[in-house]
Amino acid sequence: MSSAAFSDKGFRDFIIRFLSTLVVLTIIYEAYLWFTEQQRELDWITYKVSELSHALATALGVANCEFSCFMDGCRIGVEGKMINVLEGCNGLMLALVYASYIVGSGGYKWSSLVQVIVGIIVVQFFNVLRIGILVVLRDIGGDAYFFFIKYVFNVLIYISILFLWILKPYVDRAFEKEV
Amino acid sequence: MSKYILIAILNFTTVCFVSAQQKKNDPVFDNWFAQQPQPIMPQTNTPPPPPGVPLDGGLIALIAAGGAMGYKKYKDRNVE
Repeated sequence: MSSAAFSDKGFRDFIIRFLSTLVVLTIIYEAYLWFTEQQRELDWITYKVSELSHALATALGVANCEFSCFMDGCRIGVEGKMINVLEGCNGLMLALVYASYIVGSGGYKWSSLVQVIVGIIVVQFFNVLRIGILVVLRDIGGDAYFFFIKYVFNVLIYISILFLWILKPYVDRAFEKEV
Repeated sequence: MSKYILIAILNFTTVCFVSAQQKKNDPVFDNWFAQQPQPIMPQTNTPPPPPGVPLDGGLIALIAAGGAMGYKKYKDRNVE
């Protein structure tokens, strides 16, 4: 990416929209986190992701799966084999980067808003699936847990975001046909 | 000459006195140089916190990937 790329107005506008949206959304999110910290509460997103992951792990057959939340995060799993779902595990920062790209690329349009909402749901779906399966793997034991936590699930979520970005032009075309 | 001998003896006496006091654990100069007795804390049997499952490790890479995809998109548009 050379400096000549920034002389292209379209690309320059994209970068400005992408980064400014990311900064604004991050500031709003950080302010929300600060507010919940002042209230001595856990943020709602981490709580909901943990709650759904716990429900999934229970549905997948983890017996005596416990769920307890504190100010810094939630603990899910069988006693002695729990995992800690902290704020950095809730996947929202990834969703914000995804949303910023959609707004940067497509501008402030209704189709962008729809794609942002669908994308956030997809990212959170994969995240809940990831944490639920991690609870199951930790219950089963062995090295598979560490392999999955370190490589498989993170790569899966990042690839899903890149896939949604690649799909974006096709979704835009579908919206244009509808209109 | 006798003045220097007197000062040396005085210093030696002071050092001996202070070290002797500190050996007795006496609070001379608030006992700065002596090892303070450590309070005995009861050993708790708290297990370490469970491991976290972070996801934000590749954020910068994702932002860079977004920038690269945007660049490719506008470059391809210019070629057309």
